[in-house]
Amino acid sequence: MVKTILIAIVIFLIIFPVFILFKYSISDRDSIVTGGKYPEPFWPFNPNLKMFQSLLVRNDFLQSGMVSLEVGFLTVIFCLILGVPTAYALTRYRIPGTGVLLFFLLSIRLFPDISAVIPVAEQFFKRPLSYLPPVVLVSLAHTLLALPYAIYIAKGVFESIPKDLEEQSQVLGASKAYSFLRILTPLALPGLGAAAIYTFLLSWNEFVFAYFILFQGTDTTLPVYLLRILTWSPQKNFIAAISLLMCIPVIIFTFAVQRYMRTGLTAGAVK
Amino acid sequence: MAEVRLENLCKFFGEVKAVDNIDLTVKDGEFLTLVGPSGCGKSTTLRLIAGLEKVTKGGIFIDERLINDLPPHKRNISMVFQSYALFPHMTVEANIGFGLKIKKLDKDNKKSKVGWALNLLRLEGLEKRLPRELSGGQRQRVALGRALVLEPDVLLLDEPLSNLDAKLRLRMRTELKRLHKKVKTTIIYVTHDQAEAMTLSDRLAVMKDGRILQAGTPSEVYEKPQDLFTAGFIGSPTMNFLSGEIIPFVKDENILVGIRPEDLKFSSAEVPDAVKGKSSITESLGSDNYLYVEVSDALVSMRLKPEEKIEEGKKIWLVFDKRKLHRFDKSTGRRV
Repeated sequence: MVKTILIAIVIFLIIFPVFILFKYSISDRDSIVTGGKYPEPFWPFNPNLKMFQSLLVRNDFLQSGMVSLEVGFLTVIFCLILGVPTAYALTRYRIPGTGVLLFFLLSIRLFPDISAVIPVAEQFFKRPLSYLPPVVLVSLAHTLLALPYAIYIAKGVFESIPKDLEEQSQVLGASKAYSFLRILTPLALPGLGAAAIYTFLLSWNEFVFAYFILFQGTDTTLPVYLLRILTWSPQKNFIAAISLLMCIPVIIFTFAVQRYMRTGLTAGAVK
Repeated sequence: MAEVRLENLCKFFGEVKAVDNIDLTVKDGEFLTLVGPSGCGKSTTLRLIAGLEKVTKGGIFIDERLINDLPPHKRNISMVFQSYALFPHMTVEANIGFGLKIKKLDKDNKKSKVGWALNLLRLEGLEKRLPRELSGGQRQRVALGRALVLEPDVLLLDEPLSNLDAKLRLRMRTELKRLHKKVKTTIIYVTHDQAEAMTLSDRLAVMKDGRILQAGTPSEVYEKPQDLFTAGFIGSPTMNFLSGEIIPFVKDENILVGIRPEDLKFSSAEVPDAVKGKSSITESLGSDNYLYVEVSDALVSMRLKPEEKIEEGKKIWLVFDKRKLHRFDKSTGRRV
């Protein structure tokens, strides 16, 4: 009984904020511009999709969405290209100073983002980095933030795959490249999928670095776009609709990657 | 099929001499076992032959071709790991066909070879299973099949039976022997189990601290162990060791006398050249009974005939089979 109540409370705490968001996003704008004359109803007032319709034809919103997607995917690609081989080398080869290296990898996260951003942005505005398009710059900044986590996750993944499997495949005639592609990669995919989701989420969500790099230009990511909107005090239901739309790619991406996230993939390999 | 020759082979890990100057020739088609306690360098030797470790000094030859610097996949050897190392995302069929696929064999050829291995190892009907759906014995056979199907020059087996339960281990032991008779590949087998080494091998090499102490046929090593370690390691229950001075016909305090439990008899009355002792506990293994006898401060084990019985605490005389006596120098541990 107590368990049921506790579960109900937890579900309520998770669902309720989303419900508020949802409620505002589909409420008719009249419910919000009454100026407090009538008490706000609990259920959506005169529900309709006008807010979404008006948002989805706004070029600046759609463009920011595209920028956010581009930045997100670029960050995932950078993190995997840099992080996976690094993690592999750190697990499979005895490299002196591995511990120190792992600590330094994390060091950027030891500062608050707001402190770390200044030196990073400073470098990004100087040549040669300043020649790169802003979208790439933001992706690189996000890579800085996400890479240590990507490496740590990937390291855990490789540690869980017995070395015997690679050695075995080599003894059976596989070159190192072949055994990496055919043995290691399929077994590592689930874990690397988790790293990809984490990286994408971090980038999709990130505000401080994106703002510092983008604030002068025309391209913006969605969090930066939201701030620009806020400066002209829009209605609640407009912001609610933006926020809700921002969840959708994350959900789609997570579901897409989740297919690879099966546990127990290495069962039966050894012993 | 091929002959493997190790010449002054050394492998050092920093200061540790894992393999220390090994000379060994494994003849074409021979089943050779490297046997020794854990950490004696037997697995490292195998990994050196496989190419998974770099040679520090010395040479590895397959049919007189030096292969020190060849990567594993170019040596035409196969190896079965202690852990079996089956590829967990591949079916039994794909596991066995893995090496053939790399060799780019055409489909029909590959299929017939995989079929041959499935048949040889009695795995028919399990083609589509994943490793996690197999029993320990089946996994072990898949690992063997995967190695055999490549028709390697040399097959390396690293403690392939040690993860199986006792009953299965005995069955797979017979199976391995049958297999070797059939395929006649050169096999180098690593184990710490002297019984496996004795029953399986054409020849065995006893290793300790990175060196080979003695190599020979199982009966040679059993009947003429060249040093104290080999004498104690091979045979179960182990050989008894007694100081020479308490044995009437040896009377030499620099000699350690070794005698196997089956080479002792007892007498209830005093006889010449016998050693006095007191009977202690009797152990019955069903087919064999063993009697432990207290001799001065040592405990000597001897095999009893099934009909022999003796009470505990009786004064008895141990009679040695003098032809089966092993004498070792106490200071060097070498056979004299």
